[in-house]
Amino acid sequence: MSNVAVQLSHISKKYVVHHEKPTLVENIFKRTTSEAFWALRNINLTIHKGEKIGIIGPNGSGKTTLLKIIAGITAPTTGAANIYGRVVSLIELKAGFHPDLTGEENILLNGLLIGMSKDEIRNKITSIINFADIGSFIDAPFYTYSNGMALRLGFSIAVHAEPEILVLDENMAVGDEKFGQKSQKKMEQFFRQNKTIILVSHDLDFVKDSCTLTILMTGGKITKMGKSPAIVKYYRNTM
Amino acid sequence: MAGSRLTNYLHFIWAMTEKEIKARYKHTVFGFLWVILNPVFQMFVIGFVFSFFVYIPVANYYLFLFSGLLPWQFFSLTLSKATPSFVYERSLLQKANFPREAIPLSIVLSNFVHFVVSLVLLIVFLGLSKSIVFPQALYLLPASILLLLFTASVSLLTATLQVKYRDINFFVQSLLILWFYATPIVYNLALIPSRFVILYYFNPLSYIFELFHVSVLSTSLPDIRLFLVNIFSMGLIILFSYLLYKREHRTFVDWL
Repeated sequence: MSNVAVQLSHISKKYVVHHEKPTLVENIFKRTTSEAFWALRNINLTIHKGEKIGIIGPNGSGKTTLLKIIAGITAPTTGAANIYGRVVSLIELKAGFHPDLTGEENILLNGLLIGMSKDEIRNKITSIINFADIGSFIDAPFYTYSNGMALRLGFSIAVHAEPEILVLDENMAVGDEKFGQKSQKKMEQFFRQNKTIILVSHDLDFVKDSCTLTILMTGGKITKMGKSPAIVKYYRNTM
Repeated sequence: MAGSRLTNYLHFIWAMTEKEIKARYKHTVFGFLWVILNPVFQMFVIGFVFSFFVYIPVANYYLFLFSGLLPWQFFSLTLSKATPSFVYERSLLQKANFPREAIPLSIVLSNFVHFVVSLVLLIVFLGLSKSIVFPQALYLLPASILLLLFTASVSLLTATLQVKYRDINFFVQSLLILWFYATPIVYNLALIPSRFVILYYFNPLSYIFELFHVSVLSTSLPDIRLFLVNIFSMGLIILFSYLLYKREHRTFVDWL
């Protein structure tokens, strides 16, 4: 069990889709119509430590829902999800910053939010600031930050959390070209290390080159799982 | 390991609270001085309005008012702000898996800090006017703790319900208006005809507010049975909100 990072057994996820009615009167006197939508159906999956997993499939096949369950952002309707180790997701990088607080205050808050301890943040704060390349803005309020700076700071905090399991949705473009290369390098470093990486992407070549295993999802189920080149080739042929 | 997890949890809750307090006073000239200025100003306005326009036959009515209105301010401001808090912080909830209760709790705690500051001011004022009475003044402590507990659990309850049922926020706004008059805040139970006093058994805040009055004015405490009934219903509300939150919080994101 010790080399397992993620263990999903019989996971299903139901969303209730409400159909909105235009007026209050209709809302009160007509029965609400809502239907169940199963985003995931009976998923069984074991991911071992250090594996790089790519998840591919058409839109609406449940990729992002699966990612959210692994990241602990939502819970499955049935089944059990066991996650061993610190998960950090590189989604919603700009969330969790307060516009009126300074960069430094925001680093503490955001770091605690994604599961770092106070001491850990204190030790890494210089490194976080340097990596994000925020410069003199660090003691300015967050609302003065440009879009790129916000993203860079979010990315920098997330990678400094030293996640054991890293969750990525799509390819993120972080800031300008210079920072793009820097973050690319950091990601490549993560891919070389013994970290578990789970990413959802439509960039099939990227998945083929960087992931050891690939999961193909359709209609909320895992259709195929195996070595990346074979799965990507299969997906391309059946598309 | 369990110990460090608890410290991390407390650090997190406190950091969120600090954020609430700091963010409120950023870019203001007086900064944290507002923590004191606000309640002082409030006291004068309230005292003026009630002592000139509304006459209630209670000795030291000015003091009496503060002792009821300060805790009410805490309760009502907190509840109105905490109820929509999960909905407002949706992007935060979608970002990471953190203890979600920190969102409404940080609002409760930051307002509680303000409440304690204004309470200390009241005590200083009492001391200066030599009208502080022991041991009744010590009742402020249990009264504040009970109020904090109750406010925290009602806030958690309404914030949880608001995620799925967005009517709750409007309901709370209306409820607070009714609740203000249904609680012994600007009057006390001694002024209520005895056949109506039974109604106050249904309001978990009745005894807490009577305690606040007594601690400042050393009038007599109401019936102990009121205390027992209030504590019991408070316990039920705390339990219910905890269980509901526990069941719902993992899937909040699905509704936001």
